[in-house]
This record gives sequence, structure tokens and C-alpha cells, in this order.
Amino acid sequence: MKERVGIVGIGVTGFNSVSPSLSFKELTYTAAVKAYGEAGLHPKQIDSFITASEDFMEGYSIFDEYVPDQMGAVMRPVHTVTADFLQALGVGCMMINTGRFTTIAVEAHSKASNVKTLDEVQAFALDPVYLRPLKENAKFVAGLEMKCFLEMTGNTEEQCARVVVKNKKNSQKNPNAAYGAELSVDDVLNSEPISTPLKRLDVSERADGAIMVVLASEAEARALCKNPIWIDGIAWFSGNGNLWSRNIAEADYARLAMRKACSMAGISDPRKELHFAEICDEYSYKELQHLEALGLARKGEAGYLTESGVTSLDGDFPVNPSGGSLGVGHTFEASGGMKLYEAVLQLRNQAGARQVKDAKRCLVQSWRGVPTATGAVAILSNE
Amino acid sequence: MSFKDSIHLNTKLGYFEGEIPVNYQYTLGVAGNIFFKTLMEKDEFIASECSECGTKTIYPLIYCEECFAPIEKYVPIGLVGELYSYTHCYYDYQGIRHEKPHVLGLVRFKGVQGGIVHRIEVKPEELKIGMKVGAKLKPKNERNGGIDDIIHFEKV
Repeated sequence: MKERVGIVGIGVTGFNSVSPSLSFKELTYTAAVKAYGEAGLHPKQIDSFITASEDFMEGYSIFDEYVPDQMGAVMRPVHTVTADFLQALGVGCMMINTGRFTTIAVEAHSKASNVKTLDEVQAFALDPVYLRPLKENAKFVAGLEMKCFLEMTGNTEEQCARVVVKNKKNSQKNPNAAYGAELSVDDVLNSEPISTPLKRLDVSERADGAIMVVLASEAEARALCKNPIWIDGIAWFSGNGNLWSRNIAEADYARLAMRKACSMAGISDPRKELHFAEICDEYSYKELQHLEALGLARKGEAGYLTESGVTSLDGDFPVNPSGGSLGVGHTFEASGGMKLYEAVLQLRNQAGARQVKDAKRCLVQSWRGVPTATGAVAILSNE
Repeated sequence: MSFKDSIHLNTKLGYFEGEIPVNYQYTLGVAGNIFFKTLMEKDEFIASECSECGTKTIYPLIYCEECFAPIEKYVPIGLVGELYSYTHCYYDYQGIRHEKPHVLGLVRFKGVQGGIVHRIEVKPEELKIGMKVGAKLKPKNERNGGIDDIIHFEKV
């Protein structure tokens, strides 16, 4: 990167399956107060504000008009990125790298429990001419992908089930997680089929919560904060938006974003130079597919790495120590933020019972969920 | 850092119901019109063919996804392809469970980029990635220029 960007404050609210006592604005306000408190800044001292959100998930048209007040950003420059939090974070880094901004606040939240017709909102993201008339649940896209990925790589349904067991177990050590559980591989394999080979427990459940991060230029970060967490590289890519034209077996977007982010961060051997990863596991197979696309496992090897404990909390390369979306909950466009929060805690040595030993450098990766082929990668460090 | 609501129903505290009825008319465009018109009248799938790089694409486009050149050539590719992936889908778009799961598949065509996602009607014991499947179309007088002019794909 032209110049590293520092994280000088971070706050979350949540995560929980529901949040009836707080409105979405109150979730954000609660996270913002924590983040600004850590940064030692009043919002009036922050140069610009970015939110990541999607109108249909919020239930508003032009939702970005409803974001300034809860961030302390009325009469300030604010804009919305309709994408995952990590993409908004990348925009924040670019703004700082222009030299015109010193501090930027980036926000995302999920109030998924407000959405009464979530299946229909997801189906509305399918192509209206070529896919939507089939009137099927949007999760069929995950079923098609999973079938193809397993068939082409030799990874198995049982290995996918092991991802669920591992992540839900990790999340039992995470006080912010909503879906921790002690499950067996058979529990997952015997759960209800959703869109084969995808089963109920392979699917992460929705969660509510908010995240706010304060970014600063390298010089400002050093002035504001004793131990900033550094963003060494960040990138995002889109594959083919047309499901029928896409490489459904592999996550091209993750492979390309990883290559770019590693090049920015000066990383040539990610498995050796990184110490853990928080990656998208919205569906169990996505963790395996992403591990291979990110070059953290060879083709067909991700399931074995899971099975043999390499990706466990006490393994050589822990993956999703937070519990991931399977354990913490799926927070839609805030997903990358939920994972970034875990990465920051780990790199600050503040992750408590799930602390990864000697964690100095890591990777955070997001995907925008079905039916998309878009994802982002960020490389973070504490030195 | 966490909050854990002790109330687990949104409706136990203050809330307000809202809905957004939304209706659209999605234009098919040049390539979409050619595709559906040919399917209606000639019982054929049409792919676009790039004159610069030769890539054929279904569904057809007026530009090439590979080299971004404009496309004016459209070629018939028949109705038979190969099953690239499939899934038994248990729920509909509203989250209502089907009485019996529907099989959906991605069908790809030899030498053509892209494919068609549609219902697959094959005996369970014969269902296999890589099998040859062909489109069964509605009778001509019942077609209306949409993807439902295809009833399903079946073994050939």
C-alpha cells in the first residue's frame, strides 16, 4: 500500500439472534461510542464517514439518508457503499491514501431480525428474467456450488460438517457469539436438507449487531494510539455476476483479491507469513472453498486440513477463531466487520480464552453471499 | 462488549409493521428478445458469437464478456447440453417447504461459455454430473417468451 492505514478505534454491539430492545440506529450509536472512545476522538474530529448497507435488507429506499445522526455525522461528509464492510474499509483506506483525509469512520450493521420476508429478499437478488421465474429458494445457488465444489475437489460433506463443529465450538469461547454449540459431525450430517448437499446446520443463521471502526493515516495513528492495528493490504474483486456463466466450483473473487492484497502487503507465502485467518463461512463449504481460493490450502486439501486439526483453535493455522458466521451469526453486509473485529482483538492479544498464540499478522476475508460472486480480503498486522 | 436480549420476540417491545410492494417490468433487450423469439418459434437455444475472439455465450449478449467487443452474430446451439451441477431444493422463494424437493441444475453446452439453470427431471438413480440432458419445451401455442417456455431438462 502507498501508506499503511491504522485502526485506532473499534466497537461492536452484539451479536445476537434478535435485538428487540434497540433500533438499528441505537445499535450503531452503541458501537460508535465505543470506537470513538478508543480512538479518543469526538465525531466532529473525524474527517469523513462511510457505511456499508443494502436497501432491501434495511427496508428503506435510499437508506444512506438514515445513517448520519447515529454516527455523530450530521452536517458532515457521509457516503454509503452497497457492499460488504471490508469493501467500505478499502474505500476508507483509499481516501486516507489520497492525503486529503486523516481520519475516517467506517460502519456496518445487521438488523436482519427486522426482515420478515428474508427468503423473498434473497430471492429478489436472483436474475429476474432467467432465474427468478423458477420460484426457488435462493439457497439453491449454494447447493449447486457446494455439489460442484465437492465433486471437483474431492472434499466431502463430512469435512464440511467438521467446519460447522469446529466453528460452533470456537464460538462458545466468544462472548459476542449467538450460535455457539457442542455438535457432532452426525448432528450436522443428519440435519434437514435445504438444497442438497447443503443441510440446515451447514447454513449460518442470521444475527443482529453493529460495528464501527476509526481509521487514521500512519502518522496520525501513531499519534493517537499506542498500538494501532495496521491494514497492510486490502482488495476486492467481482467474478461473473451471471450465475450460469460463473466458475461455481471455485471462488475466483477470493483468489484475485488475495493476490492483490498480498502484493500490497509484501507477502509471498501467506501460510507461513500469516498466523490465522477469519474467512467467510456463511455456508460450511465456503470455508473450505475460500481456503483453497486464498492459497491457504491446495486444491482438495482444505477438508483434510480441517479434519486433521490444522485449522482448529489450537492448530498450526487457526481459521475463524471467532466461530465465524456459523458460530457468531450471519450479519450480511456487516460480516466482514464482525470478522475484522475478531482479527483486531487477536492482534491486540485481547481475545481471552480463544487467543491465538503469538498472533502478529492475519487475513480477513468476506463474501457478499448468494447469489453474488464478490468478495474482499484484508491483511492486518500489529507491528 | 456483547448484549444479550432477554426478550426474544421483536413483537414483545415497540415495533411498527411496514411493507414495500414493488413491481417491475424488466426489459429483455436485443439479445434477450432474440433468445426467446428463437426459442418460441424455432425450438432452439441461441448463443451470441464474438467476431473478435470467437467466444460463444449463452445466454446471448450484445457484447463479449471476454474481449468486450460488440456482438452482432447469433448462432443456434440446439437443445442438448451436459449437466454441470445439480441440487435437490427443498424450499421455495418464500421459504415454504416443497411437498417433494425440486431438482435444479446448471446445464452447459459444448464449446459455449455460460449455461442454463433450470429444473431437471431425471430418474434419481440416473442423475449424475456430466450426463447429457435436453430441454423439453412447452407446446408452441403455450409459449410466452420467458424462461418457463422450457418445462425442464430431461435425459437424452
